[in-house]
Amino acid sequence: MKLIDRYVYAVTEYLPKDIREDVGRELRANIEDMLPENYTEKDVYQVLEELGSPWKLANEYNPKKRYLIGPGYYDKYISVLKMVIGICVSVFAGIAILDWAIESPSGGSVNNLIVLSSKLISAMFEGAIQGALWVTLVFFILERTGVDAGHLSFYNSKWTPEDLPVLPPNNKRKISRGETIFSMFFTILFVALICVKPQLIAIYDKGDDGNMDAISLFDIERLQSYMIIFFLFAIIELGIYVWKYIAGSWNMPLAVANAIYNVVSCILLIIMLSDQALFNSEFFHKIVEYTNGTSQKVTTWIDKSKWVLLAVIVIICIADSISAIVKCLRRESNYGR
Amino acid sequence: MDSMNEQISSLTVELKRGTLVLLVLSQLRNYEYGYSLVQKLEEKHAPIEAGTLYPLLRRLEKQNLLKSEWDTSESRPRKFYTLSEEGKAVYLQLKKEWRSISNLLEVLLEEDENNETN
Repeated sequence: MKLIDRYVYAVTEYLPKDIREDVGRELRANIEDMLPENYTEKDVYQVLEELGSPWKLANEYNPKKRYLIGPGYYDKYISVLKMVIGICVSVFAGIAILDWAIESPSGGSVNNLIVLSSKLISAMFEGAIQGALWVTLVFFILERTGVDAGHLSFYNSKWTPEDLPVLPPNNKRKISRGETIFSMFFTILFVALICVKPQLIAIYDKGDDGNMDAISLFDIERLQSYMIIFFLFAIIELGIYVWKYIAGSWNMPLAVANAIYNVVSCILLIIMLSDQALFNSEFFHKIVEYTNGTSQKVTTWIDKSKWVLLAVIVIICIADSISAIVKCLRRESNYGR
Repeated sequence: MDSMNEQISSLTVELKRGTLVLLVLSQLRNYEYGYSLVQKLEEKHAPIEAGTLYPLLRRLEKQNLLKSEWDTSESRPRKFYTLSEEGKAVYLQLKKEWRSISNLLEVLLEEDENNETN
């Protein structure tokens, strides 16, 4: 009977694989039990009507969470979404303007302005989409893994007054929102630059013909091979920012995740900095030209500054990791009183 | 008036929903399959919609309150359910809870009726 097949299919279509077949078999048996002997199409119609909408039935059968962002995270999701979309739109718009300014230096004509505005609109649109996509992904992961579950009094039956958020004014344990937004802005700017327009990180040289010449710092092709891992790091970092933003104060899992992330990103940085092929040799030739130095001198100077930069970043990372853990320990000992 | 009736019926549905599991557990001392249980409950004037009962049986099985077996010996294969050991224990406890709730409520309601007549 076609009608029964269609009904069973409609119920089981989106059920998890492991129960789909069994539910279908049982449902079919139940439907057949409800039918009289030598039944007609009309009988089937009646029985199915009695069982009601297959989607409602499927809803009852389905054991899975059937939402992307649940009520526990919803408000935080919306607030982070607004913030990140705002940052992304301004970052992408900024990059578009920069790109336009470099590509068409003889600006001012109507045509140029049209190019600029169309570029701006599409860049802002892309920024909004990118921001929304990655924030949603991060929250989806938070939702499914249930980190920070202590804040969700919604589901957590063992709520205690200790779970109350810390009051904002002059509290050292508090992670400042402004700080999070600030660092999020620069991370997004940096990542967007590297991923979308790495050639913008360059020395700009006005050639004799009046056109702007850009000599990129990076060897773009080589940079491409780092792109996936780099992007992955950016998403993890965004995740930690979001976690920080919604947690409002340091807790141990957050501080540990932060420390691990810092260590691993330092390792990535060391790998990238020691990869000679990642940098465009022309860029350094240009520096040699500008400074009138010998290429020997410039190379040693660049090498030195590279390691100084690295040392500074490593020190910042270590300080950041330790201070987070210390704040967290202090907090816990305060609660232990 | 209509909206009041609507409210009453939706509140009645909620009241019944709470008793649904106990009601189903009470009928599963012996093996039953989906439709036989629907009929049994209908005969006892406690009808449950088939679309509610079938998924409920599965859920209770997943919570280890019921165990099930496919019987393929007859012309039509059927999935039979009955109380598991855990289910029996839960059923007994739930029955106690229900009796105490129902007694308590009975006392309260009666008290109120007495007050009214005074």
